[in-house]
Amino acid sequence: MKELSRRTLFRATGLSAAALALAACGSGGTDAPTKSAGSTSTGGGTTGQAGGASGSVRYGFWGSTEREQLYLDAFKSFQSKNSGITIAPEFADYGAFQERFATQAAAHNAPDLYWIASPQVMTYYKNDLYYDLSSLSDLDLSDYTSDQIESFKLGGTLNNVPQVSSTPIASYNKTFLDDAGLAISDADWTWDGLAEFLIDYSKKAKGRKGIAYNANQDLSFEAWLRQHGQMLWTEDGTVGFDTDGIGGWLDWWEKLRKAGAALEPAEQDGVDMIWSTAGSKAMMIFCGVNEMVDQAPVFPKSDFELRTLPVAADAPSGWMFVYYSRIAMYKGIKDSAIAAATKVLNFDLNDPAMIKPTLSIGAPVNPRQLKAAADTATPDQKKMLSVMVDVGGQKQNPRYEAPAGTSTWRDDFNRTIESVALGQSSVSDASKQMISTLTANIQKAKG
Amino acid sequence: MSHRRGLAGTAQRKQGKVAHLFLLPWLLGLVLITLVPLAASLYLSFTDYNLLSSPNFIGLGNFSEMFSDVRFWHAVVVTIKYVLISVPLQLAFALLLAMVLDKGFHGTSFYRSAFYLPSLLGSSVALAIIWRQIFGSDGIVNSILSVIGIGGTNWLQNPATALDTLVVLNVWTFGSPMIIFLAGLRQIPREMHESAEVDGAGPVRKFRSITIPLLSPLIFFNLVLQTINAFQAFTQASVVSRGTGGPVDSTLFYTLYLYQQAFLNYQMGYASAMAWVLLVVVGLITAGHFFASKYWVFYSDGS
Repeated sequence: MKELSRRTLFRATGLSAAALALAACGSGGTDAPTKSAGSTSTGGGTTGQAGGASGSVRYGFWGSTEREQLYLDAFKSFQSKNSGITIAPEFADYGAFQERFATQAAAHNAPDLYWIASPQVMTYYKNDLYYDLSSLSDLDLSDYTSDQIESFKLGGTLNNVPQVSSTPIASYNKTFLDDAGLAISDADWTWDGLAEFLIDYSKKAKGRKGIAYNANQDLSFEAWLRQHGQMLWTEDGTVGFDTDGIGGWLDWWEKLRKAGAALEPAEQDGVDMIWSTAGSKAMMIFCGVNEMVDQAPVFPKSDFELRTLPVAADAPSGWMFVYYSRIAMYKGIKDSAIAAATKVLNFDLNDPAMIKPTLSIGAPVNPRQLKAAADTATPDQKKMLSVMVDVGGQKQNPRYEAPAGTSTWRDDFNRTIESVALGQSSVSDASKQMISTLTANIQKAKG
Repeated sequence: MSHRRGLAGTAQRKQGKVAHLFLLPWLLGLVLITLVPLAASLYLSFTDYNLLSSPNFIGLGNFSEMFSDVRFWHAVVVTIKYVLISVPLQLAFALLLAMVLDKGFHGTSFYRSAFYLPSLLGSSVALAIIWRQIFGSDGIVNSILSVIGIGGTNWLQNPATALDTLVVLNVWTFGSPMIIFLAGLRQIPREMHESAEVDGAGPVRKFRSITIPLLSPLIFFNLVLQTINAFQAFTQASVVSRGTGGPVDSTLFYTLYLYQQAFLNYQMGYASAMAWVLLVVVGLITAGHFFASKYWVFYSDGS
């Protein structure tokens, strides 16, 4: 046998490493997505489907353990009726899901079907991660109106479908309110009126404050902007507000905090409050209507009610809006998995078995599912559905998704609010800094 | 004679073959897990790479961007503060406790194990979560302070104290350097202390003139190791600040900012550049330590 020298050993190591690397690149996962010739920022393009509806479909989603169980039960139900298809769930906490998805996408190995975080919708679109759903002849969107389907499109292409909707509300602990001997009046349901009420409550309530300091609640901030003639993002992908817009919002919160009507960040474990801490100390919070459903059970001895947000005296009509949480099919999905994934997507959007899991995120967007949901909803979920039906029937001015480059805009927002609440920066300086940061990030993403 | 030499040579070559075969898995690991990612990272540091699309070569763009990145420099300052405060404190505490244990008393073995335990847990996520509870507004620290009539604060939500909690966490993991110091102290001949006592030296003089010089190689070793570890600290800052580096970036470690850039901002190219800057800086600091060691580290062979 030939002598094994160091040189031979290193050569063997290099060849083995190369062989292993090639094997890893070639095996498993999904096909790398390919851009169509001449395309720059398209969201879909690969068409058609091959093979029968069988095989494994990877489904990526996030949430609490309760939500995970609801979805796993629904998947079991699907699989019992579709024995050739296995759903492989890829579940994680929200933050962990985003980070893992980034790594999966980098490896061209994203789940076949995946939920999309709202700050990422346009980022994923710009980087061509969406399969063109309009090419799926078996995709069943018959429950939706043509106007709805048209509103789902990005860049004229149907590349994702909203599953659930939500809207910002003011959720309040009625038990706390009753303890203080107070009631919320409809008479002065404006921002100034609410501020006065919260200050009054904090004086009368024993050891509790009017509202948690959740100035970082993005949907409420967006509602504030829309009521003041501005928006969060523009149609052409720029920042839709100015220093007055964000400054007014921060001033409103600072007024409450300095008057002792809003919790200090230290009292609620930070600007990004922890509900189990803040909920025992404050009567009211702003949140998405879907979040209230999860928050209420944390304090089972309290009765929670909700209202739509206060309205500025000169708010334009159409300020109300609906926020969508979307699902998409991965552009790089294997051809052999498309048919099965389409079946799973149909199940996700249309099947009555999905109503209960969907209610854990928000109100179903499918009109038929939304109607049927009232039969199985819990009392808190019924309150949510009632709000969504009401808001859905109102005039809504256009609303645009966060542009590419703003994946971390909520973190920038948190830092801005922190710097003001902790006295490190004035409202004016913090507002300018935030707009400057967002604008720079958007420019950078444009390349 | 030459036949015997020939047989010996064959046996040696056979042993060599076997040794190289046993080395092969490690070499594969070195190549695949260390060298290839290192090379990839170096390449990516010269690209605009957002994880979702292919890298785009931009030369020194990422490195020049660092100069104008305010948060980058803030992360550098926070990290340097952390290193300069926590490493000397940790080593001082470790040496102090090693000297106490070196006295030898009943239960030394138990205390040695107990003091070492935090080192094992220190960088764990579980401990960082517990640390958040301990220093929270309703945590143990404030409970103890209230007993003695001092009003506490939410230590983690106060920019003036948030970093200090991480310093305390790092100092608390003194067990590993303590064990090394203890072994070093046991190596110092007792006769040296005895003859110093005979000459009238007190405890401070003995510590300064005998203990420190003879322990200097181990002090140097621990200093280099703990400095490198402190520059690379990530888990504690990430968990305690819930991934934000807050409040107001007061706990924004360099590695945490690097992670945010890579996986939250989708700026993997920029993060790779940051990683290489960290490597070079830590390398330079380590080289500086080695350079300075010739003035204060004394080896038993006289060097």
